[in-house]
Amino acid sequence: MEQPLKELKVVLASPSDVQQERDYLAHVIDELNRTVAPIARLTITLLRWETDTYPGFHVLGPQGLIDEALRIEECDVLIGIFWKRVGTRIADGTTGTQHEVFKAYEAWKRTKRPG
Amino acid sequence: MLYFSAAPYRLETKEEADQVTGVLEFKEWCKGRGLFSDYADPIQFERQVRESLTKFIFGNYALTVPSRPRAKRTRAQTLPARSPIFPLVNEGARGKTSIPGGEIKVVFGPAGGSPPVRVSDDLLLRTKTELTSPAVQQLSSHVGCPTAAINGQVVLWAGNWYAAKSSDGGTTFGYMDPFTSFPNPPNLAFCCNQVVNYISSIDTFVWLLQYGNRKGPWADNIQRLAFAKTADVVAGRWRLFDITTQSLGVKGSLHFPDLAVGAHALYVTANVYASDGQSAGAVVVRIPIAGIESEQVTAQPFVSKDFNSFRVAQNCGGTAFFAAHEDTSTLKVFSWDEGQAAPTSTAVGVHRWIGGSGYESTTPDGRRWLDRIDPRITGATLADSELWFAWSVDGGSNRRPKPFVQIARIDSRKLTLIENSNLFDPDSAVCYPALSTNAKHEVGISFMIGGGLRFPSHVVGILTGKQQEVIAAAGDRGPRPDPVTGQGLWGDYLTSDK
Repeated sequence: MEQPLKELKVVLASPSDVQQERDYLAHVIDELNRTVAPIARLTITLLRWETDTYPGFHVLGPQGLIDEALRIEECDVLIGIFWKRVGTRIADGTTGTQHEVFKAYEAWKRTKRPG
Repeated sequence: MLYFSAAPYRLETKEEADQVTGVLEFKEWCKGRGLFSDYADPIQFERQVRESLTKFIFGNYALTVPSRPRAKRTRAQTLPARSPIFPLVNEGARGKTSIPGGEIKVVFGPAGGSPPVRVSDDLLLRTKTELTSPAVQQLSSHVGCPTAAINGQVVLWAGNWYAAKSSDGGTTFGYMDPFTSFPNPPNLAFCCNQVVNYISSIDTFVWLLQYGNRKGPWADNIQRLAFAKTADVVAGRWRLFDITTQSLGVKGSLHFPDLAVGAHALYVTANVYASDGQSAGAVVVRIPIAGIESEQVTAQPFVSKDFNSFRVAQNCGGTAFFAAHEDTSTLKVFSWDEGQAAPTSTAVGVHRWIGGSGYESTTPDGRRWLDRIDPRITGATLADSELWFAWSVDGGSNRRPKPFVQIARIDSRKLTLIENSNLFDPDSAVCYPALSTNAKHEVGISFMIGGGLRFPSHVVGILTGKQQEVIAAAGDRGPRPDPVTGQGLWGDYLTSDK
C-alpha cells in the first residue's frame, strides 16, 4: 500500500509589481505536482494572498488577516520576490511583504522551517 | 528563498524612489543572511525557482519510485548485483555471462581549485572548473557537444559554439571565440560542431571547426583543421588546413565530425548531407602526420554513399578501424592499413537493437531530453587487440525498459564479435557514449545519464578491469522544449581522449 501524500506548503510573499513572476511560480508548482512531487510522496500547495485570504476586520489590521490565513510559521517554504517595490507600510513599520519574510525568518531560527 | 529582479525600471515619482530605496535596504538585510538570489527576467526566475524547489524536495524528502508492473527478469538482469546504478552486463554470442567488476561509487567532484578527490583506487576527478564564458556570451546550449584535449598543463576545450584554453591544468580557462579566431573563407563562416585532439608523436593539438555556407545549411561547406604545438596553443598561433566538399568529390555539406589519431595518420570523419538535407553518405579522411609536422598537409579521402556515419576507433595504430551500422543486427567494420590505398570491410553480427530518431525519456521536471538522439556509433576505440564500438539504443532493445548504450567488442585480428555489452541503468536512460583507451589499455567512457529520478548528468568512467564511474556534472533540470518543434533536444555527441 502506498504512503499517503504529504502536503508541502509553499507561501508566496511579494509586493504587487511582480505579478508575472507570481503567475510563473504557480505554473512551476503545477508542474512539480505532476513530476517531482509524486515521487517524493508530496503534494505542493501554494499559499498567496490573492487566493488564500478573505475580507474581514482584524485587530492588527489587514496584515493580521493575512497572517491568520497564510500561517507562515507552519509553512515549509517561503518564496519572496522583489523588484522595485518593497510594499505597503503596515502597523509595525515594515511592509506587508517584509513582515512575512521576517516572520518566516524568526520561525526558521526556532524550527528550521519554512526553508 | 528570496528573489530580487534585476530588470531595468524607470522612476517617475518620489514615492517610487522611496520604494526602491526600501528594496535596496531590505536587500542589504538579506545579504547579511545569504538569503537571496538575483534574476534577470521572469523566465530566469521560473528556471531558478524550479531548480530551488526541486533541490529542496530532493534534499529533504525520501524519493520513491512509482510502482509499475514488473517485467519478467532475464538472467542477465539479475546478475549484476554489484552495481545498482550502472550495471554493465555482457551478453556474449556464446551465452549470457556477467563480467567481473568493482562496486561503482558516484561522487560529485570538487569545484575548481579544490584538492583532488580520490573516488577509488584509480579513477580521479582531478579538477572541475565551471566555464561561465559561453553563458556570458549567450552561446551555451543543451546541445553542447563538449570536447577536450590535454598535454601537460595545457588544455584545449571546445563546445558547439565556444572554445577555451588553459595553461594551468584546467584550473582556469581563457575564452576563445571560434567565430572570430580565424578568417572566413569566401561565402563561409564558422557554424558549430567542434572536435579537438592531441597528436603526441609531434606534440600537436588539432582543433576541428565546422564552417557553413552563408547561403543555406546544406550547401557545400568545409571542415577546418587548425594545428598548433603545445606552446603555440598558449600563444594562439595556429596553422590551418581545410577539408572541402570539392576536394572529397561530394556535393552537399559535411556535418557531425570526429577525429582519431593513429600511428602515422590523423583521421577525420564527417557525414555528408545533400542539398535537401537527406543523408548522402559519409567520409573518412586520412592525413599523414608527417605532413602535418612538415607543414605539407595532404589528405586521402574514403567516401561511402552506402553508409551515413562512420567513427574511427581512437588509439588505432598502423591500421585504422571504423564502423557503421549495416542494419540493426550487423556492423560493417572497415580496416584501413596505412600501407593500403583504400579500406576493406567485414560484416559483423551484433545483438539486435531498436533505434530511430528520438528516444523516450523524461526528466524529473517532466521534460523530454532525447528527442535528438539516434543510433549512430558515437564511441569507438582500440584496446590491445579489441575493438570497442558503442552507440545509443532505444528502450525495448534487449528487453530493457530504458534507452541504453550497446557496445560491441570485436577481435581486431579476426574481425569477429567477442561479446555484446549493455551499459544500462534500470531507471534512467544511458546514452551518448564516447570511448577511448589509456596507456594501461583500459577503456574509458564518457556518457550521459538522465530520466526517471535523474536530470541529464555527465558521467565518466572506466569500463575494463575494476569498472568505475563518477558523475562529472550533475544536471539540475531538463532541457527547455524547442520553441518551434516542442522537442526536448539535449546533445549530439561527446568525445573522449586519453
